[in-house]
Amino acid sequence: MNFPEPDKSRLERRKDLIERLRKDLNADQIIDSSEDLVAYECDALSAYRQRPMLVTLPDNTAQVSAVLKACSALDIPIVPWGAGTGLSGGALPREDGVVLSTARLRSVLDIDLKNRTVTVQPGVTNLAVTEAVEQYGFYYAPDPSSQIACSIGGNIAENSGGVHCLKYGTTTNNVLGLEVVLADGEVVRVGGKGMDQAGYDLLGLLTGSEGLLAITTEATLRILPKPEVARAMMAVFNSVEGAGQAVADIIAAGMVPAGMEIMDQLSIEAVEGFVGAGYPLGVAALLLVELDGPESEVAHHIGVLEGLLRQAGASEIRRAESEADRLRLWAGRKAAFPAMGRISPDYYCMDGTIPRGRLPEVLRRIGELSKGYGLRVANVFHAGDGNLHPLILYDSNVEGDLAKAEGLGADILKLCVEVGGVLSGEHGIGIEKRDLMPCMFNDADLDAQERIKACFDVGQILNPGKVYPVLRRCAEGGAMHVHGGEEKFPELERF
Amino acid sequence: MEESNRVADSIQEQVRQALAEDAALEVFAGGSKSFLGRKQSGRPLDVSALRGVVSYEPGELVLVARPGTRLSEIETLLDGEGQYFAFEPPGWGEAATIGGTVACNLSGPRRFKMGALRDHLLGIEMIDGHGERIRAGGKVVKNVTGYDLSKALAGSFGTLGVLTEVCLKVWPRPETQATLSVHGLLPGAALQHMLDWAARPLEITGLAYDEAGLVARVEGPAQAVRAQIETLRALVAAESSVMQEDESRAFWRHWRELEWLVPGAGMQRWRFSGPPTRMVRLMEALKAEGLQRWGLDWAGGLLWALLPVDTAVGLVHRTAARHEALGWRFAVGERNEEAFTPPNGGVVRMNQMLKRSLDPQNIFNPGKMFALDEIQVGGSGLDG
Repeated sequence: MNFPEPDKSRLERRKDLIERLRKDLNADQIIDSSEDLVAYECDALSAYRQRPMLVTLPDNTAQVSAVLKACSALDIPIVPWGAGTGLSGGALPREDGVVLSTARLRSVLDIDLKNRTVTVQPGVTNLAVTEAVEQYGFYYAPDPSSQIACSIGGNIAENSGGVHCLKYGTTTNNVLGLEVVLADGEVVRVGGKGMDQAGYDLLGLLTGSEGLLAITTEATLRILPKPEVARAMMAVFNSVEGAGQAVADIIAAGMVPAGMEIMDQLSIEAVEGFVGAGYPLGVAALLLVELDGPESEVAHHIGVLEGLLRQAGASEIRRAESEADRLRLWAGRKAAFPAMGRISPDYYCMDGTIPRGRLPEVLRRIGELSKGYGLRVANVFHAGDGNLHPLILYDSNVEGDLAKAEGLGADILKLCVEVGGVLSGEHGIGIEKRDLMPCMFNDADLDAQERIKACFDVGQILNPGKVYPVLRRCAEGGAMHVHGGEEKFPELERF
Repeated sequence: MEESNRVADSIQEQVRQALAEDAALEVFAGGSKSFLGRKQSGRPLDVSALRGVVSYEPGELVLVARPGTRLSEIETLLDGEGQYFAFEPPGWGEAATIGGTVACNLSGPRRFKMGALRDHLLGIEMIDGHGERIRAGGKVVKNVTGYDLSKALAGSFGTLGVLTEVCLKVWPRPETQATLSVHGLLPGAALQHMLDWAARPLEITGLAYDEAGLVARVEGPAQAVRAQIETLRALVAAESSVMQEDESRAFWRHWRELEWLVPGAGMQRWRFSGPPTRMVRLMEALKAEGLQRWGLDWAGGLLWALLPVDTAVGLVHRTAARHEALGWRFAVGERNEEAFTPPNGGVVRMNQMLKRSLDPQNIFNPGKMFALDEIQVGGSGLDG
């Protein structure tokens, strides 16, 4: 991907900007030395790197507002930065721009158990929300794989999902209120602790807007009572299509499991060699299903589920008999991404969603594309909601392999759109899939979206260049690349 | 298909004509929700001819329909496949359409557990205020591609564009249901029970209260429903009874359709939504404005009320705002004060940004939600 040349006049205003920011921020809240700026060169889409001109670390909403006002006045782009764990390059800096990090906004402001809400600053991690309330029997439902590190501000920007979102929704279904700062520095409170908003659904518009419309400084989140029990089951199938049909049967039977995950043979083998989850080897597909809820309900459904899996032709079914067993079954699935490092020097992760009924066709065509490009593809997916994560295996030391991987990735995403699906189920568009947007939306669709941006951010200073393409034609795109296991966050689970 | 394309083209033509003539449009389909929002005087734009289910795939949990399709027709279709809209929309009249239901973001008693309509809206097609037919969102259950414009259309009361197609998530209907009714609780004690029960890991999908008592609906497999009803029953000292299956369904239909909240002469319905802990105090405060019958829904997060038609509307909205609540006035007669409690000044400004981007000439239902076009940029609402 080519990046635009940095605007020289903006670089020349760097000194003015620092001077202006120093009125509201302390010296230690402005990072301007090049060795310190290196840490901000990329998010978890590490194939793309750019060093920002400055990083700011505001301590409170007033300082966020001050940074926005200063940047607005001097026409300097701002890239919001939570934990930098995003997979689509949404937080990729600009050389002529400032990174606004929420790292110092890490307070849990309010725990309201009666109204079942928690209010936090954007730098609080996803897992910390659950940790703040689990002693009272509650939890925060969205659980992206990076939840130990990723920030709530980033979750809101990307509308993050997780393995439980078919039943419990993504971030957008779990946000009740926001405090945001607009491009000109105005602070606005949207929503609250009630279940409705006055006026338009701004929470819906802002959640998933990838930092293009406003910067979140506070979020009021819905918390749920922790289910009484969670039970997991693993079923072996002699084809991925067979596993897919079992998922359809489960839904047709009226069940909504808390999680349903499929892995193909290549993934199973990589994972088993990596973590030893106890998965059988030499099988074509594994389906993991988890049920949660009241003991009396789960006890009934788990029996029905086992019957359905047998009928669907599972050759082996294993119930997790203990909590340790259940976690072990999940450990394999959650290690699927890092496990690719064992079988390939590099991998490249896709994130399209398709109508589940098209799964056999899509898998067949991914297989054909894989042969055509001469690159292996391992498939893991959130089977309940049709969100695919094909992992393209390649070797960046082989001349032309990276370009081939990018081409294959773009073809897979175009295939998802062709069968009625979408470019991204949960990772966001960011910089990565930006140029593929015209494959899914026509000019009028994109005009409407860009007009919203233009009305909210007249000067185009909030994360410009992300999500919406500069040239509107269906182009080749990139995706998440990992080289030699050198992931930006190797310690994070990725699913 | 050809017929519906022709109808959509004609609607697009009417929008373009209105743009050319700078004429306001009043968008409607079944007309069953005409009591919501401020009165309109624009040129009528009837979209009821744009009807029919475009696609329904039970296995995908996705339904696509044109806006003029009757809600009852869709619900019958879903029922045949053992599915339903988990947000349980009220119809408030046989003429209710899916387009109107989306435009009003109407959600019933399951809202506190299963989410609002907006949480189940996956994608839309609409004609915007530039006369263009545009799409947003998708037709799959998980999608983060582009701004989630669909949600902005939910509850926009036809002020951002004319919907030509909506795509909604549908859900398997639970096997059975039963409702526990607890008699003789005072409002404060009833609310405490609601807050306590909603915080328990149970499949409670309805939690409401009125003068007849507290009701709690549990759904799921029969033995699980029985077990949970017994768990709840053991938590109350007051007298209680259980409504099974059909009786339970009939009760919640009656509740959802507000058949228990019938305004007598000189009275009108109001709906207040806010933090559950505040709603009994809001109810107490509304007694000064002539509160008559009332009830709590959404596990305490929604207050239904009858207030006199000649009540001071602004005062009621300010009372609601003081309790962090939003009021909806169900209009009767010709009075045209604010129908909805206005948002704060910052939200007003953001509403105007969105309105300006999609409907720059302000032709769709101008002033229907708020007198937005009468409020200056940066102007303040009630609590701004």
